[in-house]
Amino acid sequence: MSSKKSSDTPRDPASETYWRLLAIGIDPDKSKPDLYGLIFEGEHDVQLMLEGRIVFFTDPARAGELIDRYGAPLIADRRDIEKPFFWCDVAQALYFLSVGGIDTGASVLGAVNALLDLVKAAGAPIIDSRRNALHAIAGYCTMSKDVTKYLEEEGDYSSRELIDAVLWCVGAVVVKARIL
Amino acid sequence: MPLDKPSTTPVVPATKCWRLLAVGLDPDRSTPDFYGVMHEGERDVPLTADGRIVFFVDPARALALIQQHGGALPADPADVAKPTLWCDVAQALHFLSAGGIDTQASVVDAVNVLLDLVKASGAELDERRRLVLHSIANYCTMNKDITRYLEEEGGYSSDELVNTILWCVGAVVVMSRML
Repeated sequence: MSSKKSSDTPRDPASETYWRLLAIGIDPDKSKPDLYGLIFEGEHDVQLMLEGRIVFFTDPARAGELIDRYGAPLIADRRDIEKPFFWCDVAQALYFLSVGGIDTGASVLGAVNALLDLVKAAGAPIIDSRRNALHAIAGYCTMSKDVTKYLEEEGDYSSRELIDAVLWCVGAVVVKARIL
Repeated sequence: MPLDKPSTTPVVPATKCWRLLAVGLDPDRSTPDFYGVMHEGERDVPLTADGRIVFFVDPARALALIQQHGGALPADPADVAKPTLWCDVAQALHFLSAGGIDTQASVVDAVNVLLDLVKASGAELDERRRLVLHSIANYCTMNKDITRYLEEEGGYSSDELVNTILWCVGAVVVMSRML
């Protein structure tokens, strides 16, 4: 699964709110995302939820219908749901965090940022060491694509700590998910 | 996922066989979220495809998936008409968070299955997590009173138990293949 943002819709959250499509990649051998979610992007980003659980679905064509059905209280100026805007390519991020490499598609940054938002929506209390590890790699990847350099030289957290944190986040999100 | 299961942890089988595994994640669903297939023998191993643990939503597909991905083992008997293995993560997390009397052995079943699935995933379960899971599984083999474990007898806190389960779920999910 490619991990780069493919939407060309410009973001202007100061003046407009959007419903955006989130793509989630788990299986590296699949050519398409495993799951999709929806994020209301405004002053704060809010996941589409149902009865306190984060909504995921497998057919991206259902995005509009699901917003109509479950996201009615959140009125967005625009819907950018034809293609994924946010990417959480867990498979690709874990690959880079395991073996390093040049993350040209910003897979690690995209996945970590999405997971932090999803964990927050899940209401799962994340311990400081995990949060700090994820913020550290996200901060680094905002400025650099060289994950090898982080793992071997510059980073304060090991590959294992980073992978552990990602796995915990995936579990915390999955147990609060509703797949429709 | 409400558990209307006919049995708790199955006894060690005398022969090798395939069993249907039901996985519950969403407590509000009346049916399991996913199914898997486990091959019970000297070791319990899940059905995998290209090294990834196979899950599916329609239990009627179990036999076909065994035939397709079971390698040399499809000839073994298959008991897959109904789930005989349960991994009700939602229920287990409820008990490990809030305590209670786990009359249906949700915790021990979920932990035992997760241990098998994590092993199959190839994720390295560190010693601390292994001890946490073995502690609660051993306790629950003899006791249904989870409150007592959490408040009196257990060596591990609710937070540590829940966090360990969440890590296991993540480790399994990232090595899964939905078919």
